[in-house]
Amino acid sequence: MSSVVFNHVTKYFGENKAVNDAHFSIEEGEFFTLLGPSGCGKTTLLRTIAGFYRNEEGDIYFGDRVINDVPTHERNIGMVFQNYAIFPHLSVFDNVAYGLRARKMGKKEIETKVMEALEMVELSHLRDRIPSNMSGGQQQRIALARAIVIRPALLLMDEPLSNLDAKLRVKMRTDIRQLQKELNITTIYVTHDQEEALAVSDRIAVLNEGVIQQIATPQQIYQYPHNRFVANFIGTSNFVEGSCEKDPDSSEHAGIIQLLGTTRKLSLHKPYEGKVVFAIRPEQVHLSGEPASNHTVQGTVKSVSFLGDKVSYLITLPDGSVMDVHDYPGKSQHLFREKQSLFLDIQLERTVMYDSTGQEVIYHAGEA
Amino acid sequence: MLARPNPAGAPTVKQRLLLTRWDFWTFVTFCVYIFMLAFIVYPLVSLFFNSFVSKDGGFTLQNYLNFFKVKYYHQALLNSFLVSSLATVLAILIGTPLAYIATRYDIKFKGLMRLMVIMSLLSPPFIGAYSWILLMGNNGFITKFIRELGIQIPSIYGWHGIVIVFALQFYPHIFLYVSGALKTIDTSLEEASESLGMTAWRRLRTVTLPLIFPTLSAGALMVFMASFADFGTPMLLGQGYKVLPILAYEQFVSEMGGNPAMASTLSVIMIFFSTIILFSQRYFVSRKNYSMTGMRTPVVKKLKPMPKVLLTVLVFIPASISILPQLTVLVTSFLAKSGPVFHRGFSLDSYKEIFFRVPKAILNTYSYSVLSIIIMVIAGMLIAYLLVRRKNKLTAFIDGIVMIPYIMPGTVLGISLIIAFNKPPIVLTGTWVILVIAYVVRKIPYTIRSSTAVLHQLDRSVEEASVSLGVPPMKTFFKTTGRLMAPGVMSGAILSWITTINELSSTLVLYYGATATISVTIYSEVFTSNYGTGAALASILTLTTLVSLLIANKLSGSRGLSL
Repeated sequence: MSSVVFNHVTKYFGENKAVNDAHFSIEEGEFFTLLGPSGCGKTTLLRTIAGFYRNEEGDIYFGDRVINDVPTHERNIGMVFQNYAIFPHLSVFDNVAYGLRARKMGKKEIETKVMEALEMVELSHLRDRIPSNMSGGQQQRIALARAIVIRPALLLMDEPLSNLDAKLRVKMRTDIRQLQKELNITTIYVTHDQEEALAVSDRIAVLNEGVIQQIATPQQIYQYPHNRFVANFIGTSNFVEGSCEKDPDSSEHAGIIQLLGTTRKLSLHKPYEGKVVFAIRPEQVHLSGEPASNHTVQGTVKSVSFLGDKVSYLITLPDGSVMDVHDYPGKSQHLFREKQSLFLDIQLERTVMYDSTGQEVIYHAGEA
Repeated sequence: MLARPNPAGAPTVKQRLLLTRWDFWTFVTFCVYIFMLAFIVYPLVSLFFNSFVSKDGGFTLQNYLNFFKVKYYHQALLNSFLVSSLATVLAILIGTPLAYIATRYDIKFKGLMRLMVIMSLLSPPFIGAYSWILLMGNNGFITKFIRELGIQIPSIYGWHGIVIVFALQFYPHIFLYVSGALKTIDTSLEEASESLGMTAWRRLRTVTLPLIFPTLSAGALMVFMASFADFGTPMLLGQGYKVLPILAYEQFVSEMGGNPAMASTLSVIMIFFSTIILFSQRYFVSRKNYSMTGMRTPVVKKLKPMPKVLLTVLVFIPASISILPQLTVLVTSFLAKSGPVFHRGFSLDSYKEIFFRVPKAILNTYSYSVLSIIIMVIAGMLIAYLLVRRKNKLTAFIDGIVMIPYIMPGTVLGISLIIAFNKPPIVLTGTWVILVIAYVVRKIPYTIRSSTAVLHQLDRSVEEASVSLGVPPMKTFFKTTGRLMAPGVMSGAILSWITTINELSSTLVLYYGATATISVTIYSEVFTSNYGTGAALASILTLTTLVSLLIANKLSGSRGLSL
């Protein structure tokens, strides 16, 4: 178990910075997720931690030891790969025992440890099988057992669930999280699946084009995305443009907001005037048949999707833009129909407001 | 906040080198470079310089001028082109229909037919020529038989004989390449053509043939290069008809009043034209490269009994003719004889004689070949690993250089090694070491090719998993990747092995009395008209080839041989 510190780490591919100035730290025992679209540099960062790549700039620390030039096999890591990477010529038992044998452990000790690990992943009954014909889920469990049996300082997982089917994915991620807590192994987990990241992580780092956009807990990241990219990548956001000007009657942090033909007041984090972008979550809009307040916006239902626990509406606004809105109807409530006219009550104080470039937060609810 | 690539901040080459971790593979890269520089680059450069050396040791262009001025020399180039081109055309005419029938119809004894075709390709290079002399020479079995019928036919000697023997020995290249292409072709394209109302023949001409053209031309290139480089066949059949490899050899072997500088010049010219041919084939193909999805591979058509028998007979005609030389050799080796003269009946005289007279040659062939194949398999796997898994500018060079000997005629390779290693700092001429070097350098491309092919299919993360679990890179290679590669490597290694035991042209230049191998001995036996002992030696090689092929086939299962 170990903490990991990145001190201005940069990794180049040719002229491109695949990882650009990563500067953060991961706590001991933390479940830390690197999340981002494909090509964002998350796997590159993970492979740099593993030692498959060498960072050109900056230092990586395991604890207080710089490991830049420590070869992979001396880093004491466990790694789980997207495509399982099971040794096809070895039995289940020998696959799991592989790392222990490299550590010159006694035969008896290996036997005990391997069986313990196999029991953790519920595969002890298959110990003598050859893994090539086993299912993807089983193979990934072997890989997991193989990685944790050596009690690594650091467990690295590179999209371990993306080759499994949806249901198995949900079960496996719960199992992985539980195992990680039980063993208290510092874990770095790479995924492009935001739901998976939100479900398992202590903290998440969102990456785009090699740059870390935000590091925060799942809740913070969902509620207070640092910029437009994060708001768009995590969950669903409707981006609506408006404008903001200084409120002459009030303190300097108050702003008068023009949005979709309505005028409202918000208390800003800092003075700002000019165009703004709102990130509005589908559940931050209330729908009703009649205008509920003086700042409701009229719209027309474009399409209705009934999703069981909720209803997803696409609503055309007067300016022609389309907004995704979720409604949670009770037992008695009827659904709105297509082409029906209705009113949207945007709960502006719950949304996040950015400057015109979408890079800087001007307003969000709660503490900064 | 968004990342912009910053060229000014990117590390320089020097910085990158300093950051490179020095591990086992850096060491392997280093060793491979030493080996390549010593045994490929240095001999080539020596050969090149030697071609500009005058009689008194100064610089001269006289050798090249002579080549163009003296008809004796440049006629050989034209001859080489003539026989190689005609042989290629003939090989295409035999190989393509054969491949089409064998892949598309359920003819009988397909496995046997394939084995016969491969065997005729892998026979010792001059066995074909030699057997055709036995069959159709001035005093051959067939010639005599037909003459007794009262019909005069020309003997096999001369340029037309060379063309026929080349075509019969090398058409299997076409067959194997084209079969491969026809098996992976996407049938929906042919079906689309059929649905558009094309007749079967026009469909073949407008869709199937253009689609297999790149592969066909690759096979044709192999035939051309093999014919262009071949030494044994024109030597035995030519009777004064000179091609370049023979000229180079004669200029080199001093007792014929030779001129080593001229031999070098001829060698450089041969390399020059081989390279041009190779690149023009690549150039034509690069403009006609169709990426084939091959989602739906063709089904083998079931035939009614009559057509089935007819087609089977049809494909077995060329297959049998091409295997005929080896059967002839086998039969000849058991003929009773006294001295070089055959009698009626069979005996083991020839075998007794070779075991008594030339046991050293047999021992040499196997010991040199075994040593070579061990080096080739180990080095081939390591080099393949560098090429596939450690791709960088340094290893890209390796890819180019190790393939050079592939296009060098054996005679030329032999000459270049002698020029490089007959003077200090390293003198190797006259030792067995130089033979092993020649074999490794010349035949390793087969092993490297099959090794890279199998590595491309192996998942890289398997070895990364091993390294991450604490096993260092070298040990990881031998515990995981190396072991998983083995079955795939074998299909190429078997070719390296078979072509090594049969190797003649470079051996002939490099051997030295005590280091004579079977193939060289057969050559001299045939030249001194000891057909029986030559045949017995050749049968040993053929048998070894056959057994090796069968073992390889058994071990690699359905994979088959990739040539």
